[in-house]
Amino acid sequence: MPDATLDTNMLRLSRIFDAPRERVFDAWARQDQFVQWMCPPGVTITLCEIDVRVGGAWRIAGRNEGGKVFASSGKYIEVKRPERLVFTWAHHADGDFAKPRGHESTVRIELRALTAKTELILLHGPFPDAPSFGNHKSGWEGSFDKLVAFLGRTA
Amino acid sequence: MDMLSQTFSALADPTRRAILARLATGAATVGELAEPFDMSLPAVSRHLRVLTDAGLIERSTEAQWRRCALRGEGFRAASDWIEFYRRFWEQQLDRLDAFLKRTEPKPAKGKRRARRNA
Repeated sequence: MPDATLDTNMLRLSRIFDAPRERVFDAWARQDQFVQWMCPPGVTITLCEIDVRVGGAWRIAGRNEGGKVFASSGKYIEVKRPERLVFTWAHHADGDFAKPRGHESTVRIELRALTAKTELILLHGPFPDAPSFGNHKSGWEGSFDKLVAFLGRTA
Repeated sequence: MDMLSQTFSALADPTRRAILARLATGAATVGELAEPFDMSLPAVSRHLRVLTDAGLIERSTEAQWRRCALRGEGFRAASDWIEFYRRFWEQQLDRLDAFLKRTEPKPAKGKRRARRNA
């Protein structure tokens, strides 16, 4: 299991969508669109507010199939249509916005134009000082081979 | 700061990651850990304190030479976090893909369709 996940500084996923960047960006940035795809199947959204501008906040609350409630929130750090969107991310304890937020991470969405398609790169960094993102990269690589081996041995 | 934040924050420092990489090859004393880093013992001790508090290493107190060793659970929490979000985002990107297909604008072909609400 612990293969590639720890040898880079963060979670990295990429996907190609058959749509221009503007449409992909708007699916993240416009509330009426965002709510239509965000959240796993079986989840009922009870609240979804996104204020996509630098410093703007987002909040999502809902209930999963098992009836368990959740509440997540964050702020937009960088908004650059149609190429980049960066926001913080944390869960509130007991699915309650009044309760403290847990570990804060940062999600970074990069959109690259490929003729008529768009490559989306999603980076979800676990570090609290996530705006300095790029700086972490070099440090992680290499030194973690051994740790990964260690995890393999102890898994 | 919650434990997971503390773990990731501890992992964010290159010197501490190098210390962990060294410990991945086996337990070591503070002196042994300080050697390759050109750092004073107190400086190394400070890093070890951060790693201990983050649950990433443990320090034995029984031996005359206190040795540091990696602590598996600390790493597991960090890798579980990444694994959880990997699955979450894979699923979300599937849904985003479906959404984009569903809402794809129809190519305008000159011919106008009758307006529904006319």
